[in-house]
Amino acid sequence: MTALFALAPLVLLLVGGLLIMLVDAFAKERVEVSALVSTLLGASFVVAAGSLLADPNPSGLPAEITRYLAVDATGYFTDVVLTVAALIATLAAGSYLREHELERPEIYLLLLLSTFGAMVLARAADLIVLFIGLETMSLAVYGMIAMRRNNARSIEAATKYFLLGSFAAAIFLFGAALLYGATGGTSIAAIRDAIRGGHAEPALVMLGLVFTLAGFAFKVAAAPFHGWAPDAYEGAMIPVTGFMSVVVKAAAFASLLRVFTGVFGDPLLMHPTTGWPTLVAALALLSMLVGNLGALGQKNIKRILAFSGIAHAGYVLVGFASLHAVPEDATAAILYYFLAYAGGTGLALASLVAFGSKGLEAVDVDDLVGLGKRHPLLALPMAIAMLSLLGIPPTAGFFAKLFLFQAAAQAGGIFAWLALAGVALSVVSGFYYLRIVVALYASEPAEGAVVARPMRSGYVLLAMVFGSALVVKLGVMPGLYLDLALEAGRGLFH
Amino acid sequence: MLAIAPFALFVWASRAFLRYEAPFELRFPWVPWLGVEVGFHVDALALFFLLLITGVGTCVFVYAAGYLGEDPKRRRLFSWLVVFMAAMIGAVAADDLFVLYTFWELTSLASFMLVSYHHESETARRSARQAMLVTFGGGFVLLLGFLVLAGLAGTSSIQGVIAAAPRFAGEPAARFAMFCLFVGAFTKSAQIPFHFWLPDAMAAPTPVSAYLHSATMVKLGVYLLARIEHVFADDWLFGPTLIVVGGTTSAWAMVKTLRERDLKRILAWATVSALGTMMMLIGLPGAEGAMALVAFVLAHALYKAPLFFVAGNVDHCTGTRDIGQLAALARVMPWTAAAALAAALSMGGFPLSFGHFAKELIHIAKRDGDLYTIIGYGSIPVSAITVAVAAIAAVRIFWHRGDGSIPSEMHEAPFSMRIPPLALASLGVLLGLSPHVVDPMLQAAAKCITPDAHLVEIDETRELLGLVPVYALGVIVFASWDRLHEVVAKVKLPSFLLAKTHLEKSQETAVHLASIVTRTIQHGRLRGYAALLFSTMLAALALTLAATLEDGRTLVAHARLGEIDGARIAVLGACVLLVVSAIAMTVLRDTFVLLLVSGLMGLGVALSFLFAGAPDLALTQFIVEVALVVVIASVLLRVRRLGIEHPPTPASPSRLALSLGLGAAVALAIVAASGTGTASTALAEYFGAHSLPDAHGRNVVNVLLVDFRALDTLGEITVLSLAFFATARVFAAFRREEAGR
Amino acid sequence: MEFGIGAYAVLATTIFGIGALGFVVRRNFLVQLMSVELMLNAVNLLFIAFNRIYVEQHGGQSFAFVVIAVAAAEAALGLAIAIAYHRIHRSVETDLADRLRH
Repeated sequence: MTALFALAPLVLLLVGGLLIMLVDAFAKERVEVSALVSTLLGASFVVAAGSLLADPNPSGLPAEITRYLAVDATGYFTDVVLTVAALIATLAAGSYLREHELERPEIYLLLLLSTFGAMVLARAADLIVLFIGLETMSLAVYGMIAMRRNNARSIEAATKYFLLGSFAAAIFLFGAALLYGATGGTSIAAIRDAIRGGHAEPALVMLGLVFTLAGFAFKVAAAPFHGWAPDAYEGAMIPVTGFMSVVVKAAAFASLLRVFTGVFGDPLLMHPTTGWPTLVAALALLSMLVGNLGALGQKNIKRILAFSGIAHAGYVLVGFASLHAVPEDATAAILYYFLAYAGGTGLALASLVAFGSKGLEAVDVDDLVGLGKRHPLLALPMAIAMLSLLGIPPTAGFFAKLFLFQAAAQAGGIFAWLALAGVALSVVSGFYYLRIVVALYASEPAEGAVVARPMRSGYVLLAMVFGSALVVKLGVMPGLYLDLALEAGRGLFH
Repeated sequence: MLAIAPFALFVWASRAFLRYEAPFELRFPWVPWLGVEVGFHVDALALFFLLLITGVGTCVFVYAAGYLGEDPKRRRLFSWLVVFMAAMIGAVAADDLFVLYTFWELTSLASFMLVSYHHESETARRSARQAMLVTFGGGFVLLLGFLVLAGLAGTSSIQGVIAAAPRFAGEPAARFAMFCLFVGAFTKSAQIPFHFWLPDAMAAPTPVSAYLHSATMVKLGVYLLARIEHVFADDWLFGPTLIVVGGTTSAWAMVKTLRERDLKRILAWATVSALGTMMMLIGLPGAEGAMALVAFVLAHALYKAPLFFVAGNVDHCTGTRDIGQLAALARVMPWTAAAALAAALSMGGFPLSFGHFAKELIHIAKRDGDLYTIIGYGSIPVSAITVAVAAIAAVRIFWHRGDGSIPSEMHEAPFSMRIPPLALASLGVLLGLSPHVVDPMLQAAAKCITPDAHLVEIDETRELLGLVPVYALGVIVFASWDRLHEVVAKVKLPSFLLAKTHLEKSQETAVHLASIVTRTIQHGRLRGYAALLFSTMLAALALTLAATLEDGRTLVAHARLGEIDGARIAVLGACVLLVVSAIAMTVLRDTFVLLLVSGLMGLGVALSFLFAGAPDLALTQFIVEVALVVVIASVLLRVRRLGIEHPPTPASPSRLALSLGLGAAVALAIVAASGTGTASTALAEYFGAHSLPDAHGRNVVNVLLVDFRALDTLGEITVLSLAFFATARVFAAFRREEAGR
Repeated sequence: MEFGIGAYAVLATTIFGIGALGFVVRRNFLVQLMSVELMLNAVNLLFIAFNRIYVEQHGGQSFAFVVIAVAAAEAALGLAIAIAYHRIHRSVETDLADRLRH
């Protein structure tokens, strides 16, 4: 029973999802699935946040659970991030699907199950569980993208994401097999102990490391494993884009954190010059470059956010690269960054949903021209989101970037230079983020130009209010969240 | 009504100043982890700026009430003005670098929102973007400087940094931080080469220009450098850099002034010039500089804000700001004219005004030290043009009888627009009559910049004599303004001289470069993405292997290929089957044949499972493989019926090489690595012994799956049902559509 | 009287490489899908082979079992997407999908 309670955020989603499925199948009348799913995600969020505040590291759990799923502060923290992002996406979907007459209950259920998979992935303490979580999450996302079957762009996005995703999953599995071969274990703890104890063949371990890193790098869309991301984000529906860009990325990063601090946490493997930090630093630099440069020339907002997501993956990887020197601080910075990124990107995509209505969807930056003048309040969340992603105080993004780069600066050497590159490229990112703010507030549409017309819908407004509050709160009073992130970080290294 | 808030604050600040003894502090924790506190340290310098902010703020709020009238957007403007004022107060009171930065950016944001209040033209929009890029970009550089500084000092408190300064003076990192701070301050205070955004920001409503772009926000950069002067004062680059940049800015801005016809833009360039002078004053050595700086900041606020108000009144009443069309307005607008005259006296530095007092102090500061005398002489033309600008704003448009076509139905501005300029400008004159009233205040503020700042004895006649050439030259410039303007405006400045062009050019180049990069990487082809992914992995593998080899481990030593002794024909057969069919897969064209091959391959794998000691898995694999072949075949049949062709694809040799290289590399590594495994049977025996009694099952693996690894299996079932669910929905939709057709 | 683990490993790696090669060079959706299946089979082979070193827990066999099942699920979804793709492009050539780019 304690185990059930400790894993309540996950259990809620799974059981609730099955119940909703049943209700939807047998109910005579139309069921408001979007509301049910949002409520369920909200409940899961509350439970996760409550556990994080009350008892983040419950003890006395049966080993049959903890061997497979970690029950710790980090787990609850990622639960919070994932449910927040999923909640914003669900609420946005509730408005979007109805407005564009695409309403189908399955999509919410897929969203719910995908979130469940993401939470399993983020908590996985065993490579088998990790793989199952990964696939649960990914398969549901493929399904969500392919849901608009007659839309050539959607199907193209699904094709690219699915094929490359399966390819990357196979690569990851190969890595897992190599690790198994090297150590004989499938659980993170067993593999770690074998490596620490010197029972593992270094060459096999290093190969396994490269293969698993490649699999993760694909899921978080780090360059040069990013090719699919702009295409898939553009082709998917806006709420699904929001879901993919935050939930999938955050869950994969959380899992990467567990695997790389657990399995490869050996001082030799983590050596700043000959260990994986160098590999990760290279990925980080490439991602920041490709993401920020790629976004410069884009017109489509979803593509801008896709490249921005690649750039942010790069920033987070800067944190990963500094894990060897300041493990707890870097972990806290990474976790905090998830929350800030989830708030910022989720808010931006929810706003994008709110800005459009049937036939007049907001797609390009030009569609937003003058919107802030016609609807000053409605446009504000988008501006807040852009400033947060750029890292301007007093928004979440400022502290997130500050903590990350601070950690990298403490790591010193090439990692300090990496932080410097991050700051310099953040200046570049001002060009495309501020372009959206300028379009909203400092421009007037040309005579007779077709512009997006905002929809009227409660769901997405709720998402925007929630997201804005989160982003501003994290920027003004980061103390509590940072403490939680720190505690979560400490838990990982005990 | 809204003016009450700033006024109350103003009264409070004045009271605090009168009773000022020691700085008071207020701190509470913000981000304990980084040691960042919301700390405020209000000393005389901060109080001095607070007085400016709230005093001018009061006037601006009063003025804006009249200026905006019943404008529907007035609420938005007022709320941003309030935000701005709060941010300014926070910025000058802050004692923490990061708190300061937060408020600093907030003022930029408020400025952007206020400037974008109305934007008609495309150029105005472009300017808004440039201004935002410049100020936020500068902000990032500033933050970088703060980070380095906080790292060096070990604290982010400004007082703490100043106290710790001797410890890290002379380190290269400190110099780096200094230049970061320079960039931040220069962008905010419109110094070359970041100066162009200020005149462009004149698209904003007049109260905003008067408040943000002359009296307060643009002085934030000056404030910051004055505040931390101590930290870098020993660096020999500190003073000269500021003097060169400030001097160049102030001279260049005056040249630009001559090119303008718009009254507001003329005033804006004059502001840029004044800010340049302030930068110079910070850079000047000696205690007099601090005194002069503080006096000049006050004088500037007292004359420039009223002049902007005047420009707003003129615009409001005549509908134009073109000085060519404005003349003899004193008759219709006596109050405004009076305010303009009083402000202009101060701006020109004429005797009996506070501007005169400030100018004298500046002269004294510049005279300090032989080298700086040259600067003093060099600034004569700049001061002369300032005089001329003052004369234009006060004399020319109000008293000069021009041939301008003035609209007939003009009227004086409303009451609320007359009071603020008059109040500020007359204060400037009053203080000029008795500068001793504010002397203690200025001294206290200056002491926060340089501790040995003291009252300067002014030799009145000598200073006046020194200013005579300035006045004379100023009158000449004023008299020949139109001719000078024609000449200067005709000169087409080479575009490489304009910082703005460079900024725009570099942006265009960056976007162009970026689009080339995206076009090459983001080509949209799936296989290209896969190839990139794959080749990166290959590179990483090569690197890793190289690193592992360096450790002294030779792969060959571990290779135990010799273990294949007594290989069974059957197993070998399975292997050959696998390899052959795998190769066939990449080569064969006919999908059906391929499918069969793929099926065979699956069977081969199942066979090898059998030999590897996993009979139940072999069975599972066999069943799944058969099912898969059947399903794919049915899909293929469907596709065939719809008729598709496969144009042959030539397999590129480079890809083949790439792939084989990878295969070989990995294979080698694994062979090398896997020879060390030794089997332990203890647990196998455990499971073998316990699976029957504990879990009532005979098949060990099955027991493992459903009992010992039940959670995994549960998850797996979830995936399966999920996939079934997703797939079923996609298929069901097809059926629905086909039925509908 | 049996193969060394090394032999199995070489075999699995070769198959894996060939599968990856197939994925990169072929542009038929279904063939690419089969290539992925091939790679997964190679992974399974590796698991089973390594399982012989660590017979105590049968971790490798369990993993392989999970992989087989999940791979089947993946293939089913992939086929659904393939059909949707075919309906739009009248072909399963993945190179035709280049609407989304730059």
